[in-house]
Amino acid sequence: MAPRMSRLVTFGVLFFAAIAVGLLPPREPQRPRPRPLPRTVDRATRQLRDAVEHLELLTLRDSIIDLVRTGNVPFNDSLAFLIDPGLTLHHDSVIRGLVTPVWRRVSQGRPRVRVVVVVDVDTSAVYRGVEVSGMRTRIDHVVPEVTDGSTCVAGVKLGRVDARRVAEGGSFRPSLVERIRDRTLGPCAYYAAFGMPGPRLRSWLSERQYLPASGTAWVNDPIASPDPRYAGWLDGLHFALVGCAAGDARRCREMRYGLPGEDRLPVRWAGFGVEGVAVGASEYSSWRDPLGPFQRSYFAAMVAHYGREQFERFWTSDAPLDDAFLAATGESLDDWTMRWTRADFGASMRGAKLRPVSVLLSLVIAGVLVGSAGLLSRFRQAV
Amino acid sequence: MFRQILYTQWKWSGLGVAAATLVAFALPILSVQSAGITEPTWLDARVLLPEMEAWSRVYPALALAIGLLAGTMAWTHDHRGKHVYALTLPLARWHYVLLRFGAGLAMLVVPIAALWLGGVLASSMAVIPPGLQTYPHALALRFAVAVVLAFSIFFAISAGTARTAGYILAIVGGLLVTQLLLGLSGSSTNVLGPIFDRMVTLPGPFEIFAGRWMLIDV
Amino acid sequence: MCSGRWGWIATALVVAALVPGRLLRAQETEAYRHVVEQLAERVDALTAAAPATREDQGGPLDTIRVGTISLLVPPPRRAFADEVGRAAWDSIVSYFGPDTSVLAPTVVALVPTGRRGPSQIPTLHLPIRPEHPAALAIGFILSRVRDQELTRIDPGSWGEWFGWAVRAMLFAPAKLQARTAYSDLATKPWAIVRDCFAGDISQCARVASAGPDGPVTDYFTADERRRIVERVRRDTPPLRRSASAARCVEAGSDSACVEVFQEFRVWITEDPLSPVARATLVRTALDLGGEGAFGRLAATQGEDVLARLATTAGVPQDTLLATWRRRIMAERPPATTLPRLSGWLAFAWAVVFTVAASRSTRWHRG
Repeated sequence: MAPRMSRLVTFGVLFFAAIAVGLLPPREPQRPRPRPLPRTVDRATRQLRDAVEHLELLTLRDSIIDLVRTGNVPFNDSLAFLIDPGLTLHHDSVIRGLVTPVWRRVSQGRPRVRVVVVVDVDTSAVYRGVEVSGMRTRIDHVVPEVTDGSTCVAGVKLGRVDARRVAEGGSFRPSLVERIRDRTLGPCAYYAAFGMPGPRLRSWLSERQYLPASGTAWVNDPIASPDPRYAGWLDGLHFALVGCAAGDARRCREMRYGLPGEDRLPVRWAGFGVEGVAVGASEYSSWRDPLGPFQRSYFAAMVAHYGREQFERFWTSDAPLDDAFLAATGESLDDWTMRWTRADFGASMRGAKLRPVSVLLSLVIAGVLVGSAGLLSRFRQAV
Repeated sequence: MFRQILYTQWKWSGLGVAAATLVAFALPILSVQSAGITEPTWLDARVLLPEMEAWSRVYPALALAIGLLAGTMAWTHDHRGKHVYALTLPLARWHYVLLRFGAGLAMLVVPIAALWLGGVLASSMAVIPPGLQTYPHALALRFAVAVVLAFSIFFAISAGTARTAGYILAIVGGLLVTQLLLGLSGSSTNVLGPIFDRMVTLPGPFEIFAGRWMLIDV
Repeated sequence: MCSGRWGWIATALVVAALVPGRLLRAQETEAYRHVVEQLAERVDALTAAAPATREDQGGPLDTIRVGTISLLVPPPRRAFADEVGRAAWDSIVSYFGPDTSVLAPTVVALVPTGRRGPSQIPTLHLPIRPEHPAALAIGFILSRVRDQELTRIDPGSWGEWFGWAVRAMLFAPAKLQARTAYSDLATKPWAIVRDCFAGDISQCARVASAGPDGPVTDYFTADERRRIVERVRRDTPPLRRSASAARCVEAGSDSACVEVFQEFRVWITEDPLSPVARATLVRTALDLGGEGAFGRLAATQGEDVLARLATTAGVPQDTLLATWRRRIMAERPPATTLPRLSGWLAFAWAVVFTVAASRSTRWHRG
């Protein structure tokens, strides 16, 4: 029996209204909510540990600058090594052998700043009962703006495991060799190759602990990878990155500046940073960071793609970051960021968005199916 | 003529479509029940996303169910009456098929509109954590295309004879049994997996069902 | 008392308010040293104020000793520490057998979240409302013992091999392990494992000593390598885009398959034998070796893994492997049987439905 239309419509409208009134707006759920860690002793201790690490680096900076002023640093082609005498000659030559070729390619014989590489094996440090030495080897940087204006300091501080291995006469682990080669110069490489950054770029980099400018892969070979290595692996990444990979240019901007109201600093540095001082910047690349886990290659990929001249125009510009990039390269920084993100993670679809080809394909299939049904019906006979 | 066909279709499957409409309206609203947190943080967003993913599996299932219902109901009475009614009409047979299909599509507009309305209401009243946004229109569009596709598939299968449906069932069953036997005999050959993968990735016919169906997402 | 507590809290709040914002513009070292001093005072103030918030936060820690394990806990957690200490020790004893005297002492602190543990001592911060606090603590203690003993067994290249084995041993009873090892041997599709299962001891020797970084050509046949790459490729984006993987799967090129194994080793986790099966081998060697076995295992660093285990067991390699295989085969699960109760129940239900069907109204209508 046909349901009465009016009765059904009345019932439907009533049901809609009941659902909407009963369930909207959604109520505050009863379950416990996840909250950021409260300000416990642990958190304060972590902040103190961060601050002590910064203080150590500032003290190191002061000593180095004194040495530079008194002419006690043996520069060779504007690069100098101050290596802990606790290391053997073999380790000493390995470090020099790894860093020097990178330096040559970076500076191309015309370095804009000097760089002092300090390698330290003394990892024990206790400040008012707080142990600050780490297990892991750390690579720190102090940029020229906060030294004497023309010297960049790169500090390699061997962690407990590496220090013990070296003290026992062992060679560096392969992964440490790679890190020394690829990360020692860090932001100092950019200062040497392109000079002092523009004030806005410097401020942005300082907030990010120079992480986007800490990779030097551009001196080796172009980074541009034709295959997205982590395509589809977006779970757990920052929303801005996920949205940018999905093609939303606004989210690409959020990758650089964070979400509105969000603490945009990386988790590691929500402590007590100092402008121009990057503690272990190359070691902490959080998956939760807006620029993602591969942000060390952010600027390196730019240099590789646009070449040194165009990048230098961007690096030294006084204009705001986005305008400087547009003026230097002719491309919007959002577009570049999207391409860079997609090179690693591929293009993804978010929400319930459809590819036009999917719609077209579905409609074509539907048409073919109905056409076949019509065709078959020609052969039907009443039985 | 279309009105007559639409009326018969309404007689046969009106109740089912009405029920589907109610479910389609309620679904997005139910899915946002945990999005009522005042001043949500990004941590709340991390909790909300998996919940939305869990709900997102229901939409394609509902689209399939509605397609199955409307597709089979479109022909039930013709089969029962041995197609005498259709053959006595002063219409070309393909024309009759098109009318049946059009009438079915017209009826499906109602649940699709209900899902869109529910999605818009739910999106506007839920509290969306920072970093996330709503996709009610895209969700309704995806749902519409999926329903149309599901309807076409089951419409075409039902339009055939019981033997046609039997062949299709036999092919699917045969594949399942083959996979089962291969597994039992210790072979790691996977017959079903690649076929399924091809079906749900472009240019497979069911790609529309496998993508993301998120009302709230990044 | 009360005013003292509020005094500390007030001090903590004032100090917190005085501390400057997170990004300092000044780079003067002395100015920054001042900031660090303030932070240190803040930590002290918070530490001192913390005991007021929960009863077991302050005060000295008690020591609970079980075997060679010492647990440092706040006094209210004594009973808890006793329970987890015993459970962890039972697990350790089931692994080391009579040889526990060779174990180095393990000291672990279990303190509530928010409290600083003793310096230099591995500390587990127990969450306020953990779902399984005992399991968490036992796991932590066993992990410490494992790390400690592992350093003695092998800090070198075979560390990972032993690491997995020792982890499996400490966390599962012997019987369960042998049963898991049986299903592992019986179900792995690789030729080398099937040969071992069938009784070929030389193949058992190869498969048992297979390490995760071993040469792939030793453990898998060309066809097996292709099948592994094909399977891993389905779920791993980097492999899906690898030209070598495509040549391996689509053109069947074995050299391409070997390339994929080497290039994407981190994605291909297929091991010819599971760590649990290896754990049974280590356990067999320790059992056969009796007293002093663990000491011998620790003393033979640098040798081939099978030779080490044979020395540990004090028997030839073949005997060790044969014993290992026999122990595993003895854990073959019983064949499918029909319990009497299930049979009778099925029959009873059949009768019920038959009677119900015969009473159906369909039969009574004219």
